[in-house]
Amino acid sequence: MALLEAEQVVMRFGGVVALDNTSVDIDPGEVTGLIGPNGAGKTTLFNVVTGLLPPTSGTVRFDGNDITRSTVARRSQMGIARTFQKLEAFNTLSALDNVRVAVEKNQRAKWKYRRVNDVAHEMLGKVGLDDVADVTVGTLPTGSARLVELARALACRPRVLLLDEPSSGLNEDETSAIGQMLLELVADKDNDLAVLLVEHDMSFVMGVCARIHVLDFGKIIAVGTPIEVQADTAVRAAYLGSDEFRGAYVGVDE
Amino acid sequence: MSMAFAQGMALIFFPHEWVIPRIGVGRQFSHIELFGITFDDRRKYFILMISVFAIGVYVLVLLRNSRYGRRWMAIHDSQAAAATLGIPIVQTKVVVYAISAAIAGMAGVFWATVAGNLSAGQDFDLLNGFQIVLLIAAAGVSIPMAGIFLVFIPLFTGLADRLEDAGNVGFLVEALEQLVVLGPGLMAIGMVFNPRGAIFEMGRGFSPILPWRGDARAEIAAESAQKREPEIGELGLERPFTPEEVIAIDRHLGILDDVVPKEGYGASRS
Repeated sequence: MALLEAEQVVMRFGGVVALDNTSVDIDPGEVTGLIGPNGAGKTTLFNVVTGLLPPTSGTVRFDGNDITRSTVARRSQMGIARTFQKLEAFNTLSALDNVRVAVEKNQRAKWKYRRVNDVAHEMLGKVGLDDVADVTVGTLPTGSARLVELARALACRPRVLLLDEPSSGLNEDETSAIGQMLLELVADKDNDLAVLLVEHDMSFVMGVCARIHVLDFGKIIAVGTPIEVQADTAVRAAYLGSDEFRGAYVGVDE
Repeated sequence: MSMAFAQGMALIFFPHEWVIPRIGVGRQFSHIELFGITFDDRRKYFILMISVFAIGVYVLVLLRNSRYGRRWMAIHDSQAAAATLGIPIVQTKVVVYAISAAIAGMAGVFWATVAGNLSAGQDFDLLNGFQIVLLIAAAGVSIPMAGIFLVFIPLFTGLADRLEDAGNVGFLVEALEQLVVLGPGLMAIGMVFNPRGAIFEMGRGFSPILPWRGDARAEIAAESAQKREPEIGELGLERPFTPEEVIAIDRHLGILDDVVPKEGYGASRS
């Protein structure tokens, strides 16, 4: 059974149908991709799954339980964490305090201050930012602030991690390091982690995702492995003329 | 929003005697008595105010550096992100408003006892507190120490009174009185350039000699390091490439370091 399922989700904004009977499922132990052209509804689906938007209809299940009407905070406590497409770091706090907030809120036991501190440093270390731990996030470059967001999400000890364009603002080496880290995190059985990745960097998506859902105009038009998705005619049609996808074709005859 | 609410309260509730008896016509308040001391002259009252302010700032700084303070700042910066970390937004906001109201209430008690008589119709006029709001905004709304800026109001008015007594310096008195009114407005304009507030910028400026401002020192160091990195944004479009920039780009692209840049490369494209 999938750890997280969105079933037949419909999200309307007035006359605009952002999600049209969209169904997505993600399993622990793998990175699942969610791709689609701009405005396809990827971030809207993230907002529905995390509870920031109540769906017009449809169901969201986590670990078999219906969480469609659960609060954002409740979903977080259950183990759903996310990052944002538009940077949502706590700009007036230091990088360390950004992560501390998450550690303190989600710690499993009454840790002492030192333990919280150690875990926060460990999370920042994972994304390579321990040397700027005391710097106010508002003054960090966008790429670094995005990594702080990622460290903060990891500090929640999530069972489901939703990443909305994590490579935005990062250079190639940093993107590659993030990809490697995600693969290591999901491969670790102790984490029991499922990752849903929204990303425009197709080589990144194709490199780390075991399965990919393709969204277009709010509808899922394809689901499969990277190779299957790249060969799918509907996906090709949706991305026709889009350089971001054309550049990602690997081992598939065009 | 708070000011609009206050104005609404003043118009709707304060005129009615049944809300707060005799508040519309003025109500008498006796002096504060603490530990057997009656704070009935300006000197005693000043010491009491300074003590209360110092304790208040200390408690707020402790609070801000606590896990609850961090949560408050997190909500201030991004409600969506705070909520997705599991922070209950509504509950936290209610607590913050309750504490703010308690602090404001305590300030009201001190004001009432020093004034001796308060009337809702006159003393709670919206514009009476406008200078204070502007000063706090200019000093930095999220910084407890911002309250220290309020010392400017009695400082300037007191100085103006003294000069008036000395006589023959009317223009100075006039200037100081104008400064009391204009100063906060000018500082508020300054906020456009320093949105984090004057106290924050002063703290940054003095951070080399303030042991507890490691965050500001780290921030300044990070900014200097960033400035040292060559900008590659508009290269070749608005100005020619310099040899150093060519090297930086070559390294970024993974081109071998032994490529020798030529003077003014790219100048023809600019």
